[in-house]
Amino acid sequence: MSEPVIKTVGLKKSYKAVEAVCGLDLSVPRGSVYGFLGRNGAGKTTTIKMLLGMVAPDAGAGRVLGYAIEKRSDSLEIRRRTGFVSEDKGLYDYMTVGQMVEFTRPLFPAWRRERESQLLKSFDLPPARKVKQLSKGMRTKLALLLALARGSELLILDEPTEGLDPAAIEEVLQILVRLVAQEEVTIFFSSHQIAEVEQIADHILIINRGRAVVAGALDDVKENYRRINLTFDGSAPAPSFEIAGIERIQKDGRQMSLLVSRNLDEIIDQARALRAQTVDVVPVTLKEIFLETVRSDE
Amino acid sequence: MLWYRHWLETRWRFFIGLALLVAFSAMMVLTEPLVGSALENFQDPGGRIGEFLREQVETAKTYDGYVWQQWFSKNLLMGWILLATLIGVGGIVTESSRGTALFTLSLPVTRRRLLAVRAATGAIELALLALVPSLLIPLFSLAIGESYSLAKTIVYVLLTILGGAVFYALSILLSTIFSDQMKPIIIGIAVAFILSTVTIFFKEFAPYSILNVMSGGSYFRTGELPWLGLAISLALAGAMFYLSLRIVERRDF
Repeated sequence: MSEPVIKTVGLKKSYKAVEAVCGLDLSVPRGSVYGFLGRNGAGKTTTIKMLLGMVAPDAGAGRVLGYAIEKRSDSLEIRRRTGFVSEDKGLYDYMTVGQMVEFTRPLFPAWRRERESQLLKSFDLPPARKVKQLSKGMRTKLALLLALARGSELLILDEPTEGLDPAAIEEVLQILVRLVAQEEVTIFFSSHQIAEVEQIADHILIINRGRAVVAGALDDVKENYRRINLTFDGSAPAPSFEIAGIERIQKDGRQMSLLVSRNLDEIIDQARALRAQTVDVVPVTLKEIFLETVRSDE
Repeated sequence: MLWYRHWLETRWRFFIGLALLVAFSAMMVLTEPLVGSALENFQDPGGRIGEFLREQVETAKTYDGYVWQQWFSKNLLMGWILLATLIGVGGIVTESSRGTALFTLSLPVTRRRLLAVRAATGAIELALLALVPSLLIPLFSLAIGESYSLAKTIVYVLLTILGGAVFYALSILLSTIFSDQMKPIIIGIAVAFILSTVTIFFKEFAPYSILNVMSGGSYFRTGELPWLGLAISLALAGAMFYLSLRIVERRDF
């Protein structure tokens, strides 16, 4: 198996008293589409900034494309080989679309001119228009063009579809999928749109308060996570499970609901031992997993 | 291409500054006959201000003195310091408040290079801002039947640029400390204002003033170049630029 494109061990970053990222372990396989999920302020952007050398980690280590993120010279190489779209999509207001492209192009040796022309056309970006005159969606499209045309083997995208209409979102997602399928590009992207992540990601990591709470192949996560609904004759008993894998327990009158991430059979056995009238095991969606895991950590 | 970006960012400051300085240099030369006759009717108000005005009138009695006093020690001096402050502001720290820092920092360029290219591009602009309007003075002078030495012009321009490097470096340094653009401008202008007030009203301080180095006061009066003042200004500018590099390299964005 090839070396992961992104690998971090115990990555930490604090801003004064606030721990933005607390010991994050991350492993992004080559050629994967890796969805990076978390609430606002969960540590997603700080993690991305550390990967690109914009912020120095307080502790831990990381490698991107085999280069150490802590070393300045390595960080330069990481940026040369990575396409990036920032969360705020900030581009130079005093430049036109064409000038932005002309400015960025010579900095990337693997720049793809045919992709540049194709994206200018399909995104309907007017080269003579000033960046400050672009709508939010158009700015996002320009930021995507500048990242995708770099010809990078890794794309780090922070909220890449923010501000786009549904048709444009679909177009962008299709482009990303094509890049992975045809050119083995690795995509690491953060998003609040869980449906998008579910549509294109094959791996996910959910981060909450700087800590990874769910990580792995999306299919495995969806396969392993289950909800167990228990109904009792009378009031549901106080939960007393001693098996690892129960992420969240909710009790409401005669009902008890468990969100389980592993050891499903053992947990079912123990649930039955509580003399539940009914025991139903149901699959859960990624949205439910996300909401339950970020909530259960509160 | 980094220079191109900085040029696009600062070009309007450059063009407006250049137009104003050219207009001032033309006006300064073309109004010399009027000013000359007005000075003949000068009435001394007495006191410290009177002493200062008397000196000014005496200096302006020759055309050389008039050009030096009005242009190299006033209009160009103050205009150039203001433009050095305006062109020096900006950079990656300011970009962080405008939301473009992450794009800039995602480029395969070191922060050291970003700052160095920015500083070099601004320095070229500032050199042109001092040079172009000053070189027009010998030309404009012909229009009023006077002449002004090209060699002297170049010496004064070099003194303005090299002596004033410290104001440009200060602006760059302040821009690595403050993320908004106004603070470096206000502090830069305040420093120049305090220095000029001290230079005018405390004569014992004047020979050591950086403004005197920039204007070439000693060169005008004695023909000697202010080597020590230039060396101190350049050393200070170098130190401030180095400090700016260190701050930018260590900063989290």
